[in-house]
Amino acid sequence: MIQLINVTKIYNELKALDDVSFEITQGEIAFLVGPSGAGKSTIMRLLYREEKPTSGQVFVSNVDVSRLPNSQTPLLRRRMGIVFQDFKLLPNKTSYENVAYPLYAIGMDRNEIKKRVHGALKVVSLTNKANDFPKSLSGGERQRVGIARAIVQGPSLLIADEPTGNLDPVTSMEIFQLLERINQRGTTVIVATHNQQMVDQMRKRVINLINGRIISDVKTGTYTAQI
Amino acid sequence: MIYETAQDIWRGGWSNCVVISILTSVLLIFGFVLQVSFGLNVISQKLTDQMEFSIYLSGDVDIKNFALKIGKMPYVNRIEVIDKDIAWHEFKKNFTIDEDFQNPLPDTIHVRVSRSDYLKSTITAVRKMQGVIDINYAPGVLGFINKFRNFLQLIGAGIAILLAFVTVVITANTIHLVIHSRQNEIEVLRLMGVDDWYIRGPLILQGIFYAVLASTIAIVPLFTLHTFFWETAQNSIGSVLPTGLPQYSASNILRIYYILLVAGIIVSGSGCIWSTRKYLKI
Repeated sequence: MIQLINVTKIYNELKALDDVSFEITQGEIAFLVGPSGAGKSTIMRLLYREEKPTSGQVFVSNVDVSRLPNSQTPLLRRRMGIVFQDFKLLPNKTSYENVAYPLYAIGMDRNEIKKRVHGALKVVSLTNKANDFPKSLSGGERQRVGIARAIVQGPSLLIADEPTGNLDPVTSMEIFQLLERINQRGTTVIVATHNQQMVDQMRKRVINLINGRIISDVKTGTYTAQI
Repeated sequence: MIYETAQDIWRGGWSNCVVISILTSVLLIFGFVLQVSFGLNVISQKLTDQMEFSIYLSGDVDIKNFALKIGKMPYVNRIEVIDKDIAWHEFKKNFTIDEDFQNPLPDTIHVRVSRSDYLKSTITAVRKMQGVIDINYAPGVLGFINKFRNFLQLIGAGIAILLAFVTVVITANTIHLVIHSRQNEIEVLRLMGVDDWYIRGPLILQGIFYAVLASTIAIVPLFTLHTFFWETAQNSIGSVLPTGLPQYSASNILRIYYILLVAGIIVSGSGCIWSTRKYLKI
């Protein structure tokens, strides 16, 4: 599903990633952990082709995204869902509209949009908040709307970059459980996080990065065990 | 996409008014230069049409052979041969003249050249030909017209280029502001895999909307100015020309509107494309 082969990324002579290689198989859930500046977000950005590696190869669903032409990037991104730390919800749109917005933009049929958006809101347990604007939602609810938007196109891969960075521990737990539930439905999930407690409780695959290098990659690991 | 464009324009609020006002002013100046250029071209064309010269020949020259030689000269557009006997005959029809009065008129050839620029060189060449008594033309007016027209075209082109550049910069900055205000939304769209054209499209349409509105507003004062200036030209320049100036029809102002519209769209559209290429990362 995801494969990084000897990936190095240099920003203005600063090495963000140094010869990183790992593979995540279809249906797996993995946590990228490490301190700030370790290279977690860089890996995420490489996966959704926001950046290109300085050297090495990045494969997503057997496609070398580092060599993907710009015109093909939207198609790649439609096959994956992205969850952001700051939710990136549009304040002037309701929950329903926020989730539906990308579907309108790709020209999907209205009935199909309705069906998909209700389905996605049901997965995140927010059907009762469909007509609410982001300002009237709690932080956790906003992130759930963000997750609904990420899964509404039925992606095979879900990328979450610090999804609980702005949330309290209880809400963070809800979000992690939601991500696990989505993974159990067959979606590959990769999460970059600082959240030590949650990673420890999940007991899933943990890839630990420090200074742009992988220092450990454990199938059922904990955050604390790595540091 | 039209809905998105309308939303962007609505979101712009007063900044739309600023852009449209500046663009209208720019198009107004551009349209004014264009209108004056058109008017002067018509006047200049009319004066050029008057620019022909007359050759008076001595009695020992065969006018038909001479006319053939003139007709073969480069840039000669039209010639009219007036035989002195025929001219004298026509003259006598209108005036009472003694029968023994000798014909004083010379054989005359009226020559018209294809462009006023060629008039002087043609006259110089003709003057060297044998049998030419005199040549009648108006060198001062010709020189002035040519110089004035060239000057006007140069100034007009300079102003047009400068204004086009200003418009591109203003539009590009406005679209930059829109991109900045929509940054979050654009980022969401592109990361969700929305096509490039769906994100750029509303911004380009917004530029076109500005151009359409600004050119429509600009044409109103231009129409008033056009009426005033053409009436003035008719009363001044038109009155000294033998055939006067032609009527300047409403289709001319319509033509200026189309030019403003197309120029506005090209210039404003260029600003949008420039801005989206520079500031919109997709």
